[in-house]
Amino acid sequence: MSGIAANRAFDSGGMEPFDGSADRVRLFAMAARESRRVRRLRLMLPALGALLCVIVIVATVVTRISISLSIGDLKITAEGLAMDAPHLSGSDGKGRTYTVSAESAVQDLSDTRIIRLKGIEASVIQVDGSRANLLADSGVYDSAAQTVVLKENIRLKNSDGSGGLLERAAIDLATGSLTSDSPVAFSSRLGEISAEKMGVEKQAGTVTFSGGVRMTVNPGARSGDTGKMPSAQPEPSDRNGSAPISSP
Amino acid sequence: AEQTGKLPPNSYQGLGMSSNQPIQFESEQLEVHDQDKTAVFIGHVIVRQGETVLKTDRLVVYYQGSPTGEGPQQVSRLDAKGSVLVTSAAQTASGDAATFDTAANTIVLTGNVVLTQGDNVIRGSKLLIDINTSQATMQGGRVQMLIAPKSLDAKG
Repeated sequence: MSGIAANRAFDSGGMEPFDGSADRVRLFAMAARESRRVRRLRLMLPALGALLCVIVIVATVVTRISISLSIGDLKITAEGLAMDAPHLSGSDGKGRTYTVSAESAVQDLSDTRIIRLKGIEASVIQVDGSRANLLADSGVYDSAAQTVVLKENIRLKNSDGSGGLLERAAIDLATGSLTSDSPVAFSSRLGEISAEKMGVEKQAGTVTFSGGVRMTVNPGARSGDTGKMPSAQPEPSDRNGSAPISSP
Repeated sequence: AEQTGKLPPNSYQGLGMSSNQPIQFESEQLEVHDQDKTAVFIGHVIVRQGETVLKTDRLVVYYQGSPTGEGPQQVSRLDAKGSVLVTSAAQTASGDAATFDTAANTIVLTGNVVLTQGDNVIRGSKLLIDINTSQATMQGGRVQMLIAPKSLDAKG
């Protein structure tokens, strides 16, 4: 007899009490109550499971950040827990989608808040479809301080042809500010700028270049004008970080 | 007293006033304030375009559109402050401050202004240069004009 049928058999209505003695009836009634409780429990558990799912879904919908994290295989290496090809993607609810991936991410066993990343690639797609890509050879993510420090050969390429080259960038994920204490170079079809240091304060909406700044503006280049483009992608060969200045 | 003189044609064409040549900026520091659409160059500021060079301690550039290049790029005004020196072809003009109005196409220098051309020197408190008409008008206070004698004979 399958579980459900056996249960109904226990149901008090379906069975005559034996020779009517009171304690046997009492015993039997207790058993029946027991089985009802068990049946209620058996029904409740799946309901609880479903409820949990709903909560999780509601939570993500409420925070409107759907994060999907997929990781290649996971292995313990000398330096720490290594994740192969982690890939994080999500949307910020205002229509901007972002993806961050790395060739490898190693969590430092001595300090698990530190994750060392190799071969980082991040891209942000704006509502209007314009796209910004950031590539860096290596970086360190500190989950306690909520900072990402990118190192080595940081390249910024945007869909409108503008680009940038940095050697180091410290990003504060909480305030959205970025600072670089080594040479930076940016170019777009309207001109180029290079400096020894740079700081971006997102909330204040200010960008500060310092330590010696050189900038070239092409007044001739209208926004739609695709005339002589300054070197939109500063040649990586330009190692000292300063973009070439087009002589007038 | 007002002293008006004709400038050589298309002098001061530079500084993004009307020529399309690239403008080069150099300074120790640059702050871009996107909220009030200003870019402030600080420290040994040099701006070059074609023949024209501007040197000053501090230059505020007022622009429209976004600094990263989307949307129309318009520099509406430049304000230079502190030991301003504008040199162009055979002319130099210096003063304490200068304002370049790209809409009106004028440069206004103020604060013990000295305009020199070759050996000729004109001093005054305010110099208005109209790029379209190449007209320079020195105004205010005692306008001193020093004309080197030989420069009169040389040119008719």
